[in-house]
Amino acid sequence: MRSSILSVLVLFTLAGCATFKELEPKPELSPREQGFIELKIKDEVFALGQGKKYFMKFPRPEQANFVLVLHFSDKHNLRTYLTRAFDDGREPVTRMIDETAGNDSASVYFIDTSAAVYFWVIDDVGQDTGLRMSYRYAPRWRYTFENKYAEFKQALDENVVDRAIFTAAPGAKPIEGVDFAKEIGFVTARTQVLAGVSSELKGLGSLFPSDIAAKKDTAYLKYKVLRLAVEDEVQFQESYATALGIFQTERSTWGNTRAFLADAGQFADFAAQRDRYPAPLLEKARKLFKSRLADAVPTYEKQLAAKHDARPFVPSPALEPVERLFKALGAVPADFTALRSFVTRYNVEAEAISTAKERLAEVTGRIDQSTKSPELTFYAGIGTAVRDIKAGIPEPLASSDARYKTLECAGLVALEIGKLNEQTSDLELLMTTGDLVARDIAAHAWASAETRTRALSTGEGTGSFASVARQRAKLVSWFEEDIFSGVQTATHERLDAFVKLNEEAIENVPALYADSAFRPAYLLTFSSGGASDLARKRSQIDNYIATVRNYQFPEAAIRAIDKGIGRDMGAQAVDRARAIVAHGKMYKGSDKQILSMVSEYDPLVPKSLLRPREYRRVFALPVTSNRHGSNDYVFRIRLQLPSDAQFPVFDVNVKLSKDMAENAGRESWYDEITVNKNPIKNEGRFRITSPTAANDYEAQITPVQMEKSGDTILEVHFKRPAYRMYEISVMAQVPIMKKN
Amino acid sequence: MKNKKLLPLWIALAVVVVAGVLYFLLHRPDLSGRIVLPYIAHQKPSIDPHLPGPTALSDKLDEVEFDGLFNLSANPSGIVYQDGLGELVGVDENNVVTVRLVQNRRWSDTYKVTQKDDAYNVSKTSEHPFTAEDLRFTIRRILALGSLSPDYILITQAMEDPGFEGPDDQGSIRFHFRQNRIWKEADIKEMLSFKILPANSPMNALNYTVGTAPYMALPPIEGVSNYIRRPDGKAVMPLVILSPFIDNSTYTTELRNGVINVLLETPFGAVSPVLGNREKFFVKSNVSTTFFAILFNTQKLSRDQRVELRKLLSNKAIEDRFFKIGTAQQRHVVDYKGNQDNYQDYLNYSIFPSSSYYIEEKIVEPVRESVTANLSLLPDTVRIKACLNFGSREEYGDLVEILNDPTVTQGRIKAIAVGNEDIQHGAYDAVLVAFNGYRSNFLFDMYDVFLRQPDFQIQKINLETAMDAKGMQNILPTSLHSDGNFFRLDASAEGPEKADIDLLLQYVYGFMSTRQIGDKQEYARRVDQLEHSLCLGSWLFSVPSLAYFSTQFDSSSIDLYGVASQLSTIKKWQEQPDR
Repeated sequence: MRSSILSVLVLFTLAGCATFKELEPKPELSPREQGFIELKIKDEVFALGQGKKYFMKFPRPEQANFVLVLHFSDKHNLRTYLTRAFDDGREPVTRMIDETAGNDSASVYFIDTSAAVYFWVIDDVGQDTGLRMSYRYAPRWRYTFENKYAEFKQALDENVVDRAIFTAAPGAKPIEGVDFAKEIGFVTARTQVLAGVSSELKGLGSLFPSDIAAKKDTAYLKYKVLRLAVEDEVQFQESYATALGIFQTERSTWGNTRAFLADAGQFADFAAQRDRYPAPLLEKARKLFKSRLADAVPTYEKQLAAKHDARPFVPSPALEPVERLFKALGAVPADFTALRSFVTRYNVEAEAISTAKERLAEVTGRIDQSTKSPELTFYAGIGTAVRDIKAGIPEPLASSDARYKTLECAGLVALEIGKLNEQTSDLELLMTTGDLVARDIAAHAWASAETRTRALSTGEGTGSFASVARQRAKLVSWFEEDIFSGVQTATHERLDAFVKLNEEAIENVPALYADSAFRPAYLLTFSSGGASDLARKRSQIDNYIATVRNYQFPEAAIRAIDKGIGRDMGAQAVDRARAIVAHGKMYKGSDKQILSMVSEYDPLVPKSLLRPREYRRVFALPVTSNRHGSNDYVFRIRLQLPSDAQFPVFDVNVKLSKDMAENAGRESWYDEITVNKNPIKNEGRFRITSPTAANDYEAQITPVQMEKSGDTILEVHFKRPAYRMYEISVMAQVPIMKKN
Repeated sequence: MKNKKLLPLWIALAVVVVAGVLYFLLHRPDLSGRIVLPYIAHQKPSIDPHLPGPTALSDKLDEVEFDGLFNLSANPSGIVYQDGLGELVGVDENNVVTVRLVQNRRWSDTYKVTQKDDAYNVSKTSEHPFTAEDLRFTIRRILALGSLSPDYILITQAMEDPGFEGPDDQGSIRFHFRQNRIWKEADIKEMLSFKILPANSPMNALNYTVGTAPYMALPPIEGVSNYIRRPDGKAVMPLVILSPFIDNSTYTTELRNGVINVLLETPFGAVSPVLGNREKFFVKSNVSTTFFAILFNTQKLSRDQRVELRKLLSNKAIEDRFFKIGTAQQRHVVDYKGNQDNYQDYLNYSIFPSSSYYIEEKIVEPVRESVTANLSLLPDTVRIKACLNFGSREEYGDLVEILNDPTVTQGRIKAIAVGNEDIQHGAYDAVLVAFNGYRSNFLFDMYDVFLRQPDFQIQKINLETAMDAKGMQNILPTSLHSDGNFFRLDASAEGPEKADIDLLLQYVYGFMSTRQIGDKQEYARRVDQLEHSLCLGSWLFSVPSLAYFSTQFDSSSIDLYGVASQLSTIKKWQEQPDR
């Protein structure tokens, strides 16, 4: 028990031990601005052990922009840093910058009031020593200025420039005689130094507390005097350098008016600063500029004369700085004013032309780029835009200018404006007409639409539209295509609806095919592509009609009607069969199923027997139409059986329905049986066995000789007191010879 | 006194009469248990079940000796097919016909027969069972015979590749019948009714004697076998005896006298007045199997002459004389339909007899001319020869006499009975021929008319064929050479009629070799028309087929129908119970 308690205590003790030991000076540290204060603890220095770690808390300053200056005797023996936050050395630790990193006896840190306390940390002690250190809290400006004043003062003194040339002091060298480049270099080098000083002084000013002026602080007063002196010298040197530059620039444009005029802006600015430059200096410059401006107007007129297009005129250099120079020198001459006025008007017109052209290009581009017929609102929209463009086209006044009307560019501008007026007028009319045609098309007024399109295409009664020929052609093509596709669609829709409506109709089928639905919704009469194109379009529509007439309608109808033929073999089955046959007469397709249906229901179409011994269903249908009495029936069989015989013959077995054959014992069930129209009678070589209940009502006709290379049609006619459809089965097979 | 003197004479006479009666009664043949059929002694039956025989009896004996897979028979309701060496299992949807072969059926050479007096002893020797190999051999033989054999037509129309698969463990074999028809049971059995020979038979023999039928041949005596009921057979009558005679003139007398008890063909095909006793004889009629024709020698007579000769030879007039119509001696006839004295029905106007399918069904409709002959075109005397030594002697004799009658042939004909040599050498303007055993059905034998060697002593058909480049069998012109047919036609010789002769040869072959009914019919028409144009003969008339039976037999056990063989039911024949 005792040992356990001891262990706990040891652990507790160890847990409470820190790595860094705090040094706590007596008296306590003070943040007030005052001189250096030596650091002690009860009049003793702190003893620092080799390899030990320490820290000390410095209170924050009373104001921002302070420095903490530490002086100590053996800085090299210690590894130290200052930080705003410290937890016994645990990272992260943000080490503040020592502004005197190379100094081996002091450390300076910029501190402010953002932290409650600053930790000065001794991270390592080289060898056992006593800490002999003093500290100081001081404003940062003071600390800096005190350290830099001498340096600033020396810089000013060494870089002052003589002002005699600038001020044209008596005896001074005239400025035009100066070596501008050399002098500018000389001045500029000094200005750079002083500008640096001035900049530092300005920066230092931001460190001053707001109430410094009232405190009459000596250091602050010295600061103010020095700063004014430096700034005055810098301003002078800059003006002097500028003046030197103006004269130097002017001299560099001698013989080159456009170059001179190009700098007219800076000359104008220079000439206008009467307060900045000495009057003698300015007067020299103004005289110089005036003499040079005499060549300005001719320079520009030469450029105008060389212009051969109607695009806006861009004077080189720009007129505005030159005019400003004129004004800075006193007055703008009349010829320059006339020039400036013409150029302005010309450019107004040229830019309007350009704008109109751009907008027209955009408008016509919408037409040109449209690959298909646009919306109905397109034409009105374009029309509005065209009218707007037209309104923006100015009167061609530049070409009337008394001084410059003969210029080619002035004439070209007038010409372009005329063209634009024509083009916009044509385009406006084109859109108006187009709008009418489009509305006709939308209303399915095909004849009107086609008439207007024809007029648009030929120009009859509408104008030539020569300026918008391409757009007109485009519209014509759109309208033709729209009319064509519209007529086509209308035809299709009408026809499709007709087919849908009538596909199950079984009465008077031939009349269905004579319906107007099988004609085009409108018969096209015009094509800008000529007769062949017109024929092509008509043909395309006709082809669809023909496709529906000869393929789709009969196919759909036959399928639909066939579905209705079910077990009911009565009168309606006959009507349906006849309807199928009537549709079949119109059908030109090759669908085997359709052809088969038509064939099956047409009693006059022979039904092929292709394989021996296989029974084939055959419908016997009336060929008369007595719904309430006796009818004639017929069915035909085409024998197409394979045979290697030269003169093949077959037994043809016909399985009849009971009601067809049940009276065969009393009267013949058939009227006539023929093979290729030659009657077969139950005598001689032919045998026609009677259908009886015993043989399941199967009659045999034999021998039926098949034409090897031609058609062999077995045809059976019979009468029944009914109007209905009979289903029978037919089979053929090779007869055999018997020995016995 | 006078009577007393004559008494010994009367006694002697009475003794002679009594002795004669006793002799007759004692020596009268006892035909109990025997079926006795007559034949012409020098026309010995030779039996080949796959070829038309030289005599009518030869073909009929096929039924006695041989079995097919199925045998044609008859009952009171008509024709029936009975299982022979096969039993029909069935036919599937692909027309594969399955037949189970009978087991334990032996060939007749399994047995040995010895005779002592009238007693026969049958004993087994080496076992010779019927197997599928026998059937395979038979089919191979029929195919080799080609169009010479009616069976060839049957099996090739039934099967594209005649033959069979098997037998399997059950002894069943499968035939692949053609797909061109629905094969009913009767059709299948008809197609498979060809007679089967043992596989160890020669391919070509004059006489085949080993069979499986209820009767088996006894050892031949002078080249002719009688038949005895097999120990394992189902025949009722123990013996079938062939009885030789010089000619047919005494057949009716022999039947009346009880020397024979079956007469399959009467002279003239007529009702016999001597056999009119219904208590002793009953009669059964069949469709005609014999017709008479005068065939023209094309080397002696031009086509114009042949035309006029045909006009001269009125078959009606000849037939009237033949049957002595309108006289007290009129030969009465009755046909299988019951018609009596319908002589008109037997007149022929084509190579196809009027009884045949082709005429009856009007496949062929021959021209019937009744115009007067232009005698100026004919030779002064047209010599028509007949050989009376090979059957139908009675008929030939009468016909020779009739033809020589100026009232019949206007004195332009000289008919002569000659020896076989004259016929062989073509020493005639025309020759009188009786065609026996013709079939009135599809399988009318045209080779027998056109390609038969002109030699009554033998039955030889001069058919020569070869395969062409397309693999088709064609008839060769050598089949028709002047020494090889009654008409002396020669397809190899140049002449104005060569084209027609060539054509005729093709048509005849086409008719005989086709298995297609349509082709058969068309070729029949063409042969008829071309023959009419070539005018190769006068086809005279057929004679009825009338069979007489002794009432020794129970008439109800003997069923004869239409064209069915008369002996196809012989195993069922039985004697009257009270006999």
